[in-house]
Amino acid sequence: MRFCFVHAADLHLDTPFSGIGKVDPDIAGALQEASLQAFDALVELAIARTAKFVLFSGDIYDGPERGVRAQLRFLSGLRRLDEASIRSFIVHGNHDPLLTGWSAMRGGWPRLVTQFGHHEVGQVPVEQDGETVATVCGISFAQRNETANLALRFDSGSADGLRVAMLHCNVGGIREHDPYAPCSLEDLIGSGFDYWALGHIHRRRILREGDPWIVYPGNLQGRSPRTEELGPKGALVVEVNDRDINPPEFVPLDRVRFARIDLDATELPDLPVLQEGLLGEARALQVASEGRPLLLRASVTGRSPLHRDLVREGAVDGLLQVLRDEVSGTEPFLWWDEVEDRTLPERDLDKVRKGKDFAAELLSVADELKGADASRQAFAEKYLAELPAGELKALGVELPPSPGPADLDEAAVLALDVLGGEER
Amino acid sequence: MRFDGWYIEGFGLFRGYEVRDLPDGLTVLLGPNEAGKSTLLAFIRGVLFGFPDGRSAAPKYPPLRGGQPGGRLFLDSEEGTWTVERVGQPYVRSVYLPDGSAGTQDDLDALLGHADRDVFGNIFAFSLEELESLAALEADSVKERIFAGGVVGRTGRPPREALKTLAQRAGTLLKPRAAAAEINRLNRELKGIKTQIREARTAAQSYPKAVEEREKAAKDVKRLGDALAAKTIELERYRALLDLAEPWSRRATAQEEIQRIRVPEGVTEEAQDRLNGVLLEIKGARTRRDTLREELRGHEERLAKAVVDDALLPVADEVKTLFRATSAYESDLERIGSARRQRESEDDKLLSELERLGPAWDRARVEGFDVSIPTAEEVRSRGRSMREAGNEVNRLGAELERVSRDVKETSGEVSRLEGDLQAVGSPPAHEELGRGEGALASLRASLQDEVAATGSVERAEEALGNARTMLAASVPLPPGVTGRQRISFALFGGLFFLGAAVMAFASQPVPAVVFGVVGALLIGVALGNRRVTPASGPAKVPGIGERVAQTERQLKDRQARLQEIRDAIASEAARLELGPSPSASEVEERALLMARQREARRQHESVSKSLESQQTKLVGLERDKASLGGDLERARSEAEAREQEWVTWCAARGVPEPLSPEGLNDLFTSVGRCKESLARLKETEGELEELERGAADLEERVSAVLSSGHASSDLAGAEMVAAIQVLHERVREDEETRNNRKGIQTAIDGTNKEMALAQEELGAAEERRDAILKDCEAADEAELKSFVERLAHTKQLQETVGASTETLETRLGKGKSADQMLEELETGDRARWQAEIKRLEDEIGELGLKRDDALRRDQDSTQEVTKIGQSSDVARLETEAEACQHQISQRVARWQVTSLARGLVCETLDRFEKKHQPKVVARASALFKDVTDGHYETLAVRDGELDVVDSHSTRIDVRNLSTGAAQQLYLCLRFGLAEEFAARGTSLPLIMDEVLVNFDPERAAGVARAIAEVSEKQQVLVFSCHPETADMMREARGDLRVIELERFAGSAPIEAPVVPAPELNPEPSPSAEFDWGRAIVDFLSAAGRLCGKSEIVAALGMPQKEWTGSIRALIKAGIVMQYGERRGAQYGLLGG
Repeated sequence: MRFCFVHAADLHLDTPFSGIGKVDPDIAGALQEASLQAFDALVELAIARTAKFVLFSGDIYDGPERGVRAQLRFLSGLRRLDEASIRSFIVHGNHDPLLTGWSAMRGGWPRLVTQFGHHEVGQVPVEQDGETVATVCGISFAQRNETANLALRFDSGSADGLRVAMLHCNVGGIREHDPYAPCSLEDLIGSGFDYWALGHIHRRRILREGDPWIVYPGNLQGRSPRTEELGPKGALVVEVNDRDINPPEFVPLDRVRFARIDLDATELPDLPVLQEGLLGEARALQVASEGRPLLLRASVTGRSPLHRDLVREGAVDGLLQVLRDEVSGTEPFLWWDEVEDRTLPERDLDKVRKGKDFAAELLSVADELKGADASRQAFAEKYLAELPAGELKALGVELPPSPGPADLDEAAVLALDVLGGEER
Repeated sequence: MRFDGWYIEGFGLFRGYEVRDLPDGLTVLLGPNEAGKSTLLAFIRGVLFGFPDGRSAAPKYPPLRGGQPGGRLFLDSEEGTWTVERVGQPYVRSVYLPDGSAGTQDDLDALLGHADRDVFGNIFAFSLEELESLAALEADSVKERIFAGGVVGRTGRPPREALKTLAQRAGTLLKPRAAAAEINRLNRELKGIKTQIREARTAAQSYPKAVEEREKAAKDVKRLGDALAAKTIELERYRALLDLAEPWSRRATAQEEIQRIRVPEGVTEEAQDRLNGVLLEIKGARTRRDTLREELRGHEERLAKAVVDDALLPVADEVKTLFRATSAYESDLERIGSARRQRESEDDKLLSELERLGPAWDRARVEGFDVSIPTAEEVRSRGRSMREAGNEVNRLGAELERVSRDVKETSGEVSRLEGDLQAVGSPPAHEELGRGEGALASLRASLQDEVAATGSVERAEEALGNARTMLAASVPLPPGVTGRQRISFALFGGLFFLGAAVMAFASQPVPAVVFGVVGALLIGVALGNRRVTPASGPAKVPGIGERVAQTERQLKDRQARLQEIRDAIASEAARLELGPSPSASEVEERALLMARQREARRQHESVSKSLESQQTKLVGLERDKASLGGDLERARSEAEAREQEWVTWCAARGVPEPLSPEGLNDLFTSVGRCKESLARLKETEGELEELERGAADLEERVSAVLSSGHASSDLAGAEMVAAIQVLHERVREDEETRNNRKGIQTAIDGTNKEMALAQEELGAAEERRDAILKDCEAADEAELKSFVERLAHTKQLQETVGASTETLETRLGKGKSADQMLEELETGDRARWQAEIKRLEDEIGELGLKRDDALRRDQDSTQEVTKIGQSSDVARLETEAEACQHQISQRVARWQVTSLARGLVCETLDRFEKKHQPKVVARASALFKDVTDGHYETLAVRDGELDVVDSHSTRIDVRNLSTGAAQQLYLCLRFGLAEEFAARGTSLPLIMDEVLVNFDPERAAGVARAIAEVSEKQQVLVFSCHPETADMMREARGDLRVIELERFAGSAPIEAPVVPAPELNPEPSPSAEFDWGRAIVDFLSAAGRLCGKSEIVAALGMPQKEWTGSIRALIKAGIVMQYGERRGAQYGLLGG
């Protein structure tokens, strides 16, 4: 029997965008609505494709203090699916564990919604024309710090139809994400399921293509300029014929897209050319985003004559403002979040090192500190003592790690720029 | 690196000023104030590191004495001499390496040990002013300059300044207790946002409570609403009893009165209305009947008055037809009159045309004569042909006459030319004339050669005489070459011989020969020319004998040449039939004769040519004349034939007599006009006949009608028209009368019918009136009216009962409750009802307040639930918090890098100072101790501060030293730094401008010794205006070089007049024997005017050191006079 289902995860409904600076009020409004609108689009997709069921593999909300608006919007979407006779299956992850937080939905879920508990793996058959076409299994996190290997609790047994397992977990210890509900690929492969509908990893990944399919759909809406949040985001539509699964079809549902531009300025002569280069890249990304608003972050690299221009105080901010002005008022909007100056001066530091002057001495000091961790630590403590690190951490500010060799290099370049009379 | 020297093209007072070969050690530039020492220091700095541009406040030193701005420095290194040049406006820098190739800025930087302008200015080249400004600086800045600024090297900003910049940058990002620092500000902002987030989350968690509150409030609203409704119903019941008491009473009264009133059963409201209607019908029928009777009488009277004429009825239609035709008849009568006048006019015109054509012409002939277009065209063709034939006869006749005239004129010209030719005669032929002219030209040239050759022979004879006389006398040469010059000639001759040898060796034969010859000449002069001295005798001139022999040979050659010329003259003269030595007049006479013969020959040939031409022309003219005669005869015959054909053609066409073609055309025109006139006459006659026939017909019909209508029938024209109009008017009036009678009769018939109907209606109405009274049991109309009024009153009472009943039923409805209410109304206890109403109103008021409160709570809780449900505050605030956190993270990262950079500069500076400071201080201590003769023992650095320690081990702050001692200390520090720089590869000369002036002699001597010591290792240039400074330096170091500068030095005066220098003995010897005073006197004598020092010195190549002594001696001796002060002083010979 043929049918299809939709697999989504990490909705993080009504949660803030992180890692970006202040934006215009209009754009801020659009960003606030983006995760909710992406969820609305997911509901529309399931209805349009006449999906048999929709899987929500954890992290529906961003935290235990889930917003009322997010809960009501989610409930509204589930009601619409219910009215369209589409079943919904929910497991909770580390961001929205089952036993913490509170629920505004005291009236209970709609009839066709299944919320899996945390004690044991639940199992629900899905029927069509009196026949069981699939069995969906799942288990939720009880608390945020779920460190047990929940995958080992799954047992397909003699379930009828397509066997689908839902779990929020970190398979194989993927570094960029917290190691909640850790498990190995082998734990999943030998479980007897046909499709592992996973959540937790925001970058879309298919860990195994068939027998069984092990799939992270990625999050529904990018949330920051970090690498795993860049590019198209959405859900997977999985076509099934009896127990044969076609390769999942990715459908982008994000309402605002993050993108990053890395521009090598080695050959660029001046700022206008750099500006034009950045705008050209932005135009190409706009075309690729298929009419979606874009949040752009640009990084300018290379040993370039532009270094002298960019290190001047206010130059990067000025360039950023010019770029924003250039695209101001465009529809859909394009917002330049940040331009990072990662350029290096043209002068050959190795040549400077060979000299006998102050600059050579300074590089020598920097090189010594780079090679000695203890000295570098003492040096950092001496000159970074004024930083109220504890206070800032308490406020949730992500502080840079203790200075490493690369930071010393950057500091040395800055020192030489200032000593050389080049403003920064 | 050291200075070899410089060349200043134009800079301040300097122009073309060059110094070279500076020693490695010590050089003193000694010059008075305004000699240009500071200018020179600025020049050296500018060439090495660039001159200040227009924006700089530093002095610019434009070239006051002209010349290209700038100049060049010559720098010695181990590789050789470099040249660094900055010239032009703006200055253009050029660097030339020792091998002559062009160098780069990098090459120059390397040569200067990467020292920049500041390093050079602070450590190596400084003036007294800069030394003083350094002393006035705060200790930290001094330290900066000495220990940090001086060692910056290729970096452009002193480390302490960079530290300040970095600290400032870090401070703008993060600074304890600084509200404006960005991280501090963002920190505060973030705290505020976090507080708002907590509040928003708390608000969100109150959602269930808000929902519960909303449900409770809704229940209260319902409960209180129900109670309020029940009380309100009861209240309304008592209010209804009060309201219905009045209608209840009114209904009862009305019902009683109805029972009392009696009305017969047949009486209704309609009976009165019907009776009124019938009475009106009766009255109307009677009025109508009377009116119709009056109308009938009027109709009968009008019918009697309308009388008709029966005789007019049969002719009425014919009269109308004829009346309509009268207007056409009148216009036809007018047209007949005008047609008759036109016919007479056309008839007169035709007769006139016929008379013009002639008696033989009448209507019939005119109509038969052909004047068609083909015939007219044929007439024109024949006329054209005849004119062409006549024209040809005329043309040929005129041509024949012209040719005859030309024949006559040409014959006369031939006769005149034959006479001219005879008069000219027979001059010689051209060949013969040519030969004579050639001989004449040769003879003239030979005569000129003879004159020149004769002069040459005479000069040769004179030269021979002179040579023979010199040979006999052996005369000495005039004096000119001194012994020193002879040596010079010999030396130069040797050099030229050497050059010749080199050229020969280089396979350059021509230059080798030239060099050899010049060398030989110079050596010859040196050896053969000697100064005349009293002790030596006259010298023989070698080669005079050869010159005599040579002159004799030349004389012989010239004499032979003269004889050849004279032989040629004799030959040419013979050809011209002249004597062997013809005189010039003879030759010219012969030339004149030949010119006349040449003219006669030209005239003869010209006349012969003209005669031949005229004869040829005459033959041609005769031939043309004969030909034209024949052509003329043929043309005449042709013309006659065509005239004969014309006569024949006219006869055939019936032309009355032979006419010319033009005459016949005129005839055609006249006949044509006759034809047109005849046609118009016929047309007019036809029209007139038709009009007259129509008029007669009409008059006949009118006559018939009139006779039948009792009128005169013999009428015509206007009378007939008037008669028919009168008859027509009578017919029209008779028709009108007949129509009126028909209308009146119809009206009479109608009125009779209406009268019968009106009578019937009256009878019927009276019957209906009687029936109504009977039905109502009324005797008459008045009784019936009374019955009806009673009936109306009863009806009003019934309405009152109905309305009251309706009111009661509306308020009370029906059923058990309504019956109870009616029973309650029967009691009429209004006081009780009002008390109940008061009680219920109070209870309802209380319940209303409670319900409003519940409603408000319900509304508030509903709004709260909606607000929380739709609120995006948490998301918005968290987004703001994230943005703020991100901004703080960014700034912390930036602050961290800036702070680390600051730390790197601090650590490096500390290390640098520790590494280099001890050497510098130790060296400066030793020098300072020597300079102060042990008064100050050493220097000490404590916490970055510099102190001096005296011989009693007392530490003294630098700022407490005297100006002189501080300057000595800073000089010593510079020397120490300079040595440290040299040790690190930056070895540059030290230049000091007037730095010793504040020192007492003892300390100055000490400093001089220190400078001398430094100059053992590094080149030192000391600028001073005090000769004693030079003396002290010389005492400290004997092998120094002193270069003296003059006040307002430079080379050429501003806009110096251009005067050719007088020829003096070249190459004055630099030896002490040379008399410069004599040279100055000779120069001034030759110039014959006042001259300046620079001009004299430059022209003589005089060393500066020779000038003062020489000029003073001349002035003292009264030979030379000085005019003006030293600046711009002019010199001239006394009395000159």
